[in-house]
Amino acid sequence: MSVAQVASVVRTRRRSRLSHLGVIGWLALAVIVVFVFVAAFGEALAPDDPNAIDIAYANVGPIPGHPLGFDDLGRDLLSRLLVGARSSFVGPLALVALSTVAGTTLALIAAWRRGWTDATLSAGFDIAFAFPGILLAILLATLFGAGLAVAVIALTLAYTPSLGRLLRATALRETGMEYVKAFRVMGYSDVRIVVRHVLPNLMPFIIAQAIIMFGYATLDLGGLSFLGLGVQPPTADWGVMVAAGAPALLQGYPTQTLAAGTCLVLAAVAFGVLGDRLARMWGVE
Amino acid sequence: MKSFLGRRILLGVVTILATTFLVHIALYLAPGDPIDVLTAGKPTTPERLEALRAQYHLDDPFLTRYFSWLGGVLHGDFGQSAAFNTDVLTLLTPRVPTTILLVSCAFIMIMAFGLSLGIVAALRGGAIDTASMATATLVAAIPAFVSSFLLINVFALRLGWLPAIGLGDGSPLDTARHLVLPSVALALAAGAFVARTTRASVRAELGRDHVATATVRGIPRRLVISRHVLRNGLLPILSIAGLLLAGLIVGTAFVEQAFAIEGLGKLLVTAARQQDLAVVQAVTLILVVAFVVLNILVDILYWYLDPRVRSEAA
Amino acid sequence: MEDLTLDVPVDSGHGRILHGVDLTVEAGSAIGIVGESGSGKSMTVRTVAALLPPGASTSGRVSFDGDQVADMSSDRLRRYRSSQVAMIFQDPRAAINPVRKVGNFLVENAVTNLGWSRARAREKAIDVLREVGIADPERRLNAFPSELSGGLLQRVMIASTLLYEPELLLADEPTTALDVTTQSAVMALIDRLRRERGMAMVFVTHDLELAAAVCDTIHVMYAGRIVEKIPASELHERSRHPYTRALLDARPRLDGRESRLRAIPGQPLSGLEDVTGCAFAARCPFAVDICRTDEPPVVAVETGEIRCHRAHDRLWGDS
Repeated sequence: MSVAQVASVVRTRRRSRLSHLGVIGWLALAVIVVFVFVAAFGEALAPDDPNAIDIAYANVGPIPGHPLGFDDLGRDLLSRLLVGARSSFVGPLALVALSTVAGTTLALIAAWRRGWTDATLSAGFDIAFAFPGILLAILLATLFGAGLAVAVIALTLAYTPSLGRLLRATALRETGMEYVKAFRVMGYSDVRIVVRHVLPNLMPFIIAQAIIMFGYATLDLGGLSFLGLGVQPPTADWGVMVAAGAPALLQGYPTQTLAAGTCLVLAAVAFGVLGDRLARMWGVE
Repeated sequence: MKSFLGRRILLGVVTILATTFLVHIALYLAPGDPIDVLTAGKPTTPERLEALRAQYHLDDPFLTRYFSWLGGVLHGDFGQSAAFNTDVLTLLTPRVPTTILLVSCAFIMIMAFGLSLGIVAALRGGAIDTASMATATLVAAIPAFVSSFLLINVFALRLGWLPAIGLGDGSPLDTARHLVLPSVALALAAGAFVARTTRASVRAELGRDHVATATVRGIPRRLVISRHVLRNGLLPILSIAGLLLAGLIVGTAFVEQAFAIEGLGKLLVTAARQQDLAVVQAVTLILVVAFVVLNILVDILYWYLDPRVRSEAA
Repeated sequence: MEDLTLDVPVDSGHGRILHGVDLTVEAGSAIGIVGESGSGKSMTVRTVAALLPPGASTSGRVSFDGDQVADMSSDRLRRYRSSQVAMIFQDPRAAINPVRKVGNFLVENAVTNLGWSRARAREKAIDVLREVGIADPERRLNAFPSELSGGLLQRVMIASTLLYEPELLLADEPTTALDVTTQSAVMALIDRLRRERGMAMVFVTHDLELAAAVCDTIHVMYAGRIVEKIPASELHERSRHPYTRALLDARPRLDGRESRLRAIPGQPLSGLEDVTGCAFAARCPFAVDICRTDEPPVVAVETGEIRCHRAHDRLWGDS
């Protein structure tokens, strides 16, 4: 067997069928598919204009055609919830994409170079890991002004080291394997070995971690939007809606806050469970 | 012990200095003139601009500026708040005890409920274990800014058992009643996480050989559990206590916002929205000092409780 | 121990890891249980001390001086474990609580169960530490396990059993986790102390040679069954079970007469796997049709007992 074949055998052995997800895993996947669909086609699905204000309907409960009723400005809540899915997922998507690429790159460099490069990067990961991402986001919002982009950048700085830290340990094990040594002896370039052979073997771990991270990202960005430091009103966004519904909640109209909060928690649980199941299925916990 | 403690304190001081230094550098990385950040882009009188320039020593070299801020802080001078039009110390003084109270209540709840739930689940197993861990998994995913409103809606508005917002009239009993819901909101997710970690750790300890050794020597199960399983199994909880406290302190931003409590967290968020750098800098400094001090305390506790740490350090 | 079976919970319901194990240990004698990993040898000794994994169930009898271990009241079980039987584990670093002092470990049983005063227990602890060859015992009492080497810790473990002189010593691969250099010293220590004090011993190992050196009788286990029972003195010349022979051939020989090691073909089986016929049939060079269909009975032979369909066939020219 050639070395390339060995590398791909190592890969196939780890792959297993989706049937191992279990009922709860499939349920989580179904919830995610629905959310993604809503995020993509929210406007088309919304029965009403999410931004049409009609004070006459302020805090009116469910009536035919408006199953969730209206918010404090008389906007249709179901429409805002459906349209809000996109803004609630776009931020996490950008955040997860950026920190996965950055975290993977840094972890691979640390694992490949070892020595002082690894020591420096690991120490950096450890220090940054202990610094709360939300606090960093608050600091950056003070300096650059509040907004989704600033929140995403701040959380990327916080998420990258935590993924890097996890992945480095796995990458170290992978780069220590025999097939890597064999490729080196055969004179392949470092980049080629890492990109063509090591990285594909780490993909299950990276994908599972990215999905788990997506759950946290939804809550963290939703929380920052709640604080007024992420997505800005009047954009329909679940975090913004939790905050916007608070005065109505205190007057006895909790629908907006609780419905938006439930969507956030449901999304977070679904991503967390799916990532967990995938990790277990691929044996990369 | 002395050299260990010395190293930890030194590291702590370096962390604090590095953080504050970075916050200062960031001010100059921000786009435009720092003065725009400091006035939050609002139109300001020339006299006010002059005062700001003097306060932040904007005409001095960078290092001088940093050290004059640091010197001021050591004398209790945190500067002037642009958004609140008062000096920062006046803003901080009443809020620090409020936040400490909130975090302490939440921490006690987490330790009381999270630990006992995790221990019971691990030792009992079966249906109790499955049910409590499924609940904990769900609760761990409910962030404080959602659980706050769930609690307000159920326990304050529907059942009317407890007040919804604020901290009341200041009498101890009223304050206690007002603190219950915010503390629970702050504690829920972290408590669920502690319960899961405790269960996993105690479970792992139950399967260790040294527990089998004690059992095979005929030590009564009650003593095996308390001396060997819990004594060892709870050590890992101590190691996450530092991160946990950091999470709680940051979490006050959400809970104080939801419950309209005037504490450091709410102050920090309000100041950030108004780009009031002096206040944000001061609160950040306090939070970072709190993290560092708490982590040193956790390390000292660990040193006393786990001899393995001691032989490693030696 | 008679016809012992042990079922443990596995992913899909219950799995049987011991299949009808019979064992007898006379007072003061030593028996060895030898087998590959997964053969059920550790589980067998753990069952003797009623140390079962959660959810496990047993059938058959384990009795001690006529008392059924499974039927013991909790008081009786406590007395049995605290003063009549003692166990030495494979890895002393795992088997001694790492956060309590060595002295605490040594006196725990005596103080908690036997009602000794702390002072008396400490005095005796110093005596036994000296007896197992540990220098400066007073200082060691205040040390934590992480400050001692593996060999020293195993001596501490042995010392802890001497404190109250049990009648039966269960030793589960007591030297496997130690450095090669300390292995023989620790084994010699166990052997000497056992003989001096007339303790009976069940010695579990994968090393036939070692078992033959310190035990009176050898029991060879395969896939949760005892396949051959033979006096240690007869092992080399007169063992008959194909598996025992294969184990003997798989060892390097010190006299260098044979240049190649004969590995046993195939993978070892654990008791968990379902087999029809003889569990060793798939790897046995002498297997015939009946071996693959019927479970072999226990056959009494001149040297002891063996579980083999071909017990009476002359498979080896000179035995």
